[in-house]
Amino acid sequence: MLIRLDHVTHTYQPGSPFQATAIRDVTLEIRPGEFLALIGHTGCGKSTLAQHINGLLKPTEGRVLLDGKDIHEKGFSKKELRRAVGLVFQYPEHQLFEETVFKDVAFGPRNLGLAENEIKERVEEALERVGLTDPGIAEKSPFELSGGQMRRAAMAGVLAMRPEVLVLDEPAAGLDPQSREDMLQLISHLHSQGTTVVMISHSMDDVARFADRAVVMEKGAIAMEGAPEEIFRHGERLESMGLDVPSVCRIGMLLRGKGVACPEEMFREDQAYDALLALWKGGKAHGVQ
Amino acid sequence: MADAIFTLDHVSFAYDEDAPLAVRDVTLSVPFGEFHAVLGRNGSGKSTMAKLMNGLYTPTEGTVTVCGMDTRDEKNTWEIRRRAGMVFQNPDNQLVATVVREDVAFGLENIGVPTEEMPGRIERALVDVGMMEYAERAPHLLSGGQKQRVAIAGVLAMEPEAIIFDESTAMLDPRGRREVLNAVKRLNRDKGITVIWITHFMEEAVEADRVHVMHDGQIVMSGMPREVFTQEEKLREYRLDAPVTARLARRLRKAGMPLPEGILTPEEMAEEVAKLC
Repeated sequence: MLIRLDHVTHTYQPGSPFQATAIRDVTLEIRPGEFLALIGHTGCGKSTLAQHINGLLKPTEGRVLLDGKDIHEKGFSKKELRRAVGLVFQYPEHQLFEETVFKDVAFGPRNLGLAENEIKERVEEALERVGLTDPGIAEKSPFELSGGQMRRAAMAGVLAMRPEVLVLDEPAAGLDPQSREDMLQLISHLHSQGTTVVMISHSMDDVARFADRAVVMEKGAIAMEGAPEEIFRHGERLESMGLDVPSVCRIGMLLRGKGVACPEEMFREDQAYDALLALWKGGKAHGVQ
Repeated sequence: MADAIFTLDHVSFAYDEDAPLAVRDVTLSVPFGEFHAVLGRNGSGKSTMAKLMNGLYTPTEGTVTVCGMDTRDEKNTWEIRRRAGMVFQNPDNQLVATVVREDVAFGLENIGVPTEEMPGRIERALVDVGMMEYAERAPHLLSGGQKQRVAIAGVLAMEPEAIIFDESTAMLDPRGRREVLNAVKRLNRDKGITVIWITHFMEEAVEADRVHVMHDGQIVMSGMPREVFTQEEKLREYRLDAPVTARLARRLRKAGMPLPEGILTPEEMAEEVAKLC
């Protein structure tokens, strides 16, 4: 399925004194099977944009198209759209509410009107996918889980809908290093199984590692777009926008600033390893101590 | 120790009688004016330890003193909390008033600071965190980093000797994180305020005077950042990761590149690599 935002503008509370345009004339295609990262600092409009992808917000101007059909046109089934596009909010564990993990994960499938055995199958599958497989965990209260487990339980609730597109708003925020890594591996695995992923992230290291394509937003508009290697080639521009660059990218920028011919294609750890070793060997060949 | 602001002497803590120990036999002393970072995964006991350090919790076993005062002695409670302020994780849960200035005043009213003394204290505190120009603004319209700086000003106005930060950057974006950490480093450097910085961002700990790693309620590693972050296997055992640059430096050294030990930041790395090219 192909989702296209066509010249989308969204203004909150138009006509009131609180009127605020969060995104302005955004045109963006979400391609089937891609891993797209949305970058930008708080208030740049990326969360507003994300909520247009599954029709939670309606554009004030412009259209959102699913396989060419306007999702806000009469007769379009929003229900199917919401199933197919799973939205995982920031700190989704704040939205856990049922008595047990099982019931919480079952909430969505139950709303789809599925039979009890089908619901059970989906819940078990979703819990398995997020790695919540300890015996008895499904019958626990979600509030007895650790922070990382709660996050995964919330994620299972979305996966139980078997979405084709996953939109994640900072899925690793606030997690400790190991839980972060587990979460990112889970997302990467879902992506490798064919799920389209749109991930909002502040961590440029994560974007460098996982994304096929990145969109940088600034003041409600798309400021840069391309593969991570293209985006991170403009490290100075990212920094001027108040964004980070991957740590190894920063090493490259600093080296080039010192007149060292460090390649620009250096934004992941493995690339930096090769590039810096090559620089040293080159230096040795020229007789530098 | 007379020159230590915090001393923890064989401290253990359980949330209730049958609960497992959240902090186990921790002994630690923090000299006045230092910046100590505490790292550990979720559930490692680092937040519990923070709350033991200003008397929000009192030890089940062992003794905690702040400026020589035992936290178990109830008559010390208010003085301890004034001298060792605390800033929490969620900026939205810490601000109470509708105007920034009043928010900073809130704690002062609570400890009975004379009214004529208040404006001066509030303004000094706001200037120290770079938020004076927002004094008349509504806190809920500020960014996360700005809200946290207002929360810090609220603590600063009490004229504390130490501030304990319990994952105060966890919910902020990179810009907010930088803002808050820079403000705190300045307070430590220029005002001599002792800082306990609890975090799981390794990068935030690289400039600390000392780093402590907690695991299962115990302090399992302690030392200068260089000493701690170069022990990658040990960190991994505690489910932590060395900063990317530290890891890269170690791999390059292993491959024979003559880099000095203990590189932690991109700046240090660029400096050393440039020497070899």
